[in-house]
Amino acid sequence: MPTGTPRESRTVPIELAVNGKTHLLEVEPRMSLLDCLRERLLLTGVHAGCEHGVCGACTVLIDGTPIRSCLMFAVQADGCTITTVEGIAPAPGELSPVQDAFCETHGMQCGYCTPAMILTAHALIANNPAPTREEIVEAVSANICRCTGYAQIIEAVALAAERMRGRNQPARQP
Amino acid sequence: MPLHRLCADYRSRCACRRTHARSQSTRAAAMSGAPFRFISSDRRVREDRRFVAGKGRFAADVALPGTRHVAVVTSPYPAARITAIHAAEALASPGMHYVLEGRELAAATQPLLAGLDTPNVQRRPLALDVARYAGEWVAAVVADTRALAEDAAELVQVNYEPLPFVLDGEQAFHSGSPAV
Repeated sequence: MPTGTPRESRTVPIELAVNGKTHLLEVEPRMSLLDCLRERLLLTGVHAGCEHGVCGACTVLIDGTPIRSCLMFAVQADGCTITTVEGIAPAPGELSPVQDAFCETHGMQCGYCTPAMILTAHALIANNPAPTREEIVEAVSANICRCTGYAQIIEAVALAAERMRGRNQPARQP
Repeated sequence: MPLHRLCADYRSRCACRRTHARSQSTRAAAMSGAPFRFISSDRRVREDRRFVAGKGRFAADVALPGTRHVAVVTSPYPAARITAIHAAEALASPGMHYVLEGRELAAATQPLLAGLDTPNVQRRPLALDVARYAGEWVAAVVADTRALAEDAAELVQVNYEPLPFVLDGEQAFHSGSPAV
């Protein structure tokens, strides 16, 4: 498009199922899923870090799989089931075992990478209830943390996996 | 793999009391003469809860009414004289409020504090008359949303006169290489 031509701002209707609630939205095709979740649905737990797919702070789960919401358009998520960190707690006022483990091992300092780490950990444990340390390192290698040096993050994931194995409850919801 | 290796350190903030209750009570008895309430005590941090719940209020999460958004126009040249900035088309685009140029900002502010004793090398947030590196901010546009600001920034037209440039630090020492 040549410089100087006004941009047309048509919108597209989409339906997003986020944390168990369905939202009908009109979005511009160029709006990223990250911006849509933060600005339109006010789910500010998902963070903009690099906005080009390197840091992982924008991670959300689509159908249980971690994805980069900064690299996805909102219109591409039409009809998808999205889980953000706000939807990971089992009930209001409670914390999931992963969230609790992160508190217990102090797996954060500034907290910016933390929602993404927690979602990635949930996805890992749902697929692999007994991850080895190498598997945990591999799983969170897509999420950059500037503060902690990752040691307590790995501990948190291992602790959470251990606790979730001991529960009388499947890790992955059917 | 050893979980909670921090537990080995009696100053640890680990709270898994169930597993280590016996050893902790022994340590507590040994430390009963400790004079400090917080130092060397088993304390939990306070801020973890809101971060794990995604409720940390980072700068971008604060949405005050009347907030405007800024996008910047950058120099594509490593060295260039800025001869003109045409902002009329940008100002006419939706949601736009202002276009700030280097001269106006320089008239209202001091140069940035460099931290080095180089009084002849001035650094400013917006380039003043000359852009000295590719990517230097030349103008700032203010709009109602970030997307509108970025749209308007693309409409600002800047006239540049490219100048000779030097990219290598050692080459910059040679006489005859352009001064930045």
